[in-house]
Amino acid sequence: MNPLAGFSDWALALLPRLFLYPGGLALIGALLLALLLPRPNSDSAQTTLHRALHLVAHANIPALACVWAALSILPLPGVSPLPFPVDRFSILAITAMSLLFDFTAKSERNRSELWPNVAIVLALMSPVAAQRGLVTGPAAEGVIGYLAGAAVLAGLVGLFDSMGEGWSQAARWLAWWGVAFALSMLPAGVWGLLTLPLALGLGWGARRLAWSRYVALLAWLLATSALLTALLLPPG
Amino acid sequence: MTDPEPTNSPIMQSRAALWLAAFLLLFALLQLALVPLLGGRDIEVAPLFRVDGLGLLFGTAWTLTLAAVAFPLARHRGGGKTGLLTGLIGLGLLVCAYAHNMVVLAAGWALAGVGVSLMLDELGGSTKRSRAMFALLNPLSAFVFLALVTGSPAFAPPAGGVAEPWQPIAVVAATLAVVFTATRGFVVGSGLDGHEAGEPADTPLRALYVLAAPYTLAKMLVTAPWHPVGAWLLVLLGMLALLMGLYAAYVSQTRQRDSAFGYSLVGIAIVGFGIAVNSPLAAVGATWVMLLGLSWVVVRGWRWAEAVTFVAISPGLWMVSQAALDTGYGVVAVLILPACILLAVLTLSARHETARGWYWPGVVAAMLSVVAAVLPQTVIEFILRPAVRAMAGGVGALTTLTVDWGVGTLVRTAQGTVPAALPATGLGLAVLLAGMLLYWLKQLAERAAQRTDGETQAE
Repeated sequence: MNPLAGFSDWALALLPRLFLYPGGLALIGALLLALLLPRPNSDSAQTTLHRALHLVAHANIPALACVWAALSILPLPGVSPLPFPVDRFSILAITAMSLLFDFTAKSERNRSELWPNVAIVLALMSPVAAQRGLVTGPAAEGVIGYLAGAAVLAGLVGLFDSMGEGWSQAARWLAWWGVAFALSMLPAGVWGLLTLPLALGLGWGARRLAWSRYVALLAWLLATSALLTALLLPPG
Repeated sequence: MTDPEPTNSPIMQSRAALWLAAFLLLFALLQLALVPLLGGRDIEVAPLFRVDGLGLLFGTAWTLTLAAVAFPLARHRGGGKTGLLTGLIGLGLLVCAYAHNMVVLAAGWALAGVGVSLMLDELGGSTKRSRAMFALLNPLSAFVFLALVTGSPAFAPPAGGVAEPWQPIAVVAATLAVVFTATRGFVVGSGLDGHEAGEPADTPLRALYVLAAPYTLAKMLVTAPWHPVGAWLLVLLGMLALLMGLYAAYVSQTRQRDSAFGYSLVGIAIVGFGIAVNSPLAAVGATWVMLLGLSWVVVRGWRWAEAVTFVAISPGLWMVSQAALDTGYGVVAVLILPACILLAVLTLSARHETARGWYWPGVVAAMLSVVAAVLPQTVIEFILRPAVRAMAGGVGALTTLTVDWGVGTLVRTAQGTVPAALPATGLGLAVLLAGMLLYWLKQLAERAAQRTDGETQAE
């Protein structure tokens, strides 16, 4: 195919994904999450409109742009496939870039968010140890998928606190869930969708009980177990 | 970061810095001019030098990096001695780049080591000159052992047929030489050698020295492949180096954490060169990490340094990960990405304490790195393919990696399946569109927020 035609095919397939579904919808969802789940110590005297404007005005553009791009290329059910395949590494790397851009703008005290994020990346990469390629497919079968999915959910519970911190953090939280759902690490269909409110509910509970650290540790344990299980299986 | 105090008049220093940078740039251009002149052929000046695609790539890249690093150094410290020492380091690295055999390669490392240790002294580091020189010349013993074990053959592909593989003892010696070189460059002057850390100004030179270390392995692949046991050992030792760098970044002081980043990149390159005999894709990935990792040498000290470097090296990480899966090293494929994220974020804390202003070589390096990551097709086709082709003795033909000029690059097997696909240009477009829209949204929200703030205050 001629390169210009390839590029224009990609651009045409990308635009509705970026601005409508899944990218646009997810970004609005992320803004709502960041708005509705503020950190406990945030200023409660502000109006919702005021908070929304401040969230947008203080958004970290490179971080949010990277995570928005990741959300828009997710191979979610009901979305037509892109004209060029996208592998697991690409999706995870661009989401990880958003994390790096966020940390670049942060101070040392917020480093606790790092560990659940890296545990999620490890969990999402683990199933490839039993594969021959990085391209997404029906990979996470059996116990590896369950362990990796559980690690992602635990990581999301650990990251619940960070969602109220900014738009990009909330978008990344949704992106991790979206990657796990799209790569079949969470149950398919309605059961899979139910894991989203489940993670939110558990996250709220963990915050109330101040268990976020333990949950992050659990995420690491589950992710490592998923990797070890994948390594024990013969590649295929 | 507290840069060293200027010693000469600012005008003289700027002039000297410009002359030094101009000389190095000219030298880099001269090397580039050799590319069309050679037309894919190699020039042999036995028994000293051999000019091939690999040597040209790193000879040019190191000279350009040195020019970018030397410019601010010479501006602060005056041109004369700094210029000479920079020239000595450059000469050492060029001797390595174009080395004909192991003995010449060892001599190149020795020259570069002497240059770096003298520069540490010149920049006022607390490590004594003799101690630094001893430390940096220490890896020479591993090189001498390597030359004795291997008989120091020419770094040239076999004239016909298949080359005898490097025996495991030679691979172990080579890995030790690489790890020694990288470790010494990492430790000396960083405060890890039991002495107080020296001036931060020397860190880019040490970083360049560290990042150049895996070149020995690339050179050996020009001649012959690794023995299977040797390849396995390389992967193991490379992963250990990566994890050691990660551990150092986690437990160390700010300045040592900063140096750990380069050390871990060396680990990834060792892994890549280890896998390269079974998957040429890994050779491309390792060369990518070594080449684009140089951007960190130039941009380090900035707020965005790790983020830019991570973006720059990610296509290389992708290639090494896929090659690891091809060859059955699943754990390597899984760990490389999370390890690099962790490393970059841990090293970021050094940024907040040593942040420095922009300077033009850094801006150019950052822009080139991002362009290379978004358009990996150009780097692969025009820069890396000729370099990997030069490793003909140990690395097979690169047939699986194909580029789609419009969207990105992918791996296609002989059966036609696509195990890995990186739509880097397509993702770059998505990030650009998203960034533009967010910029305008942000501007609008800032104005609206100011207005609502004003109204609230008025009330």
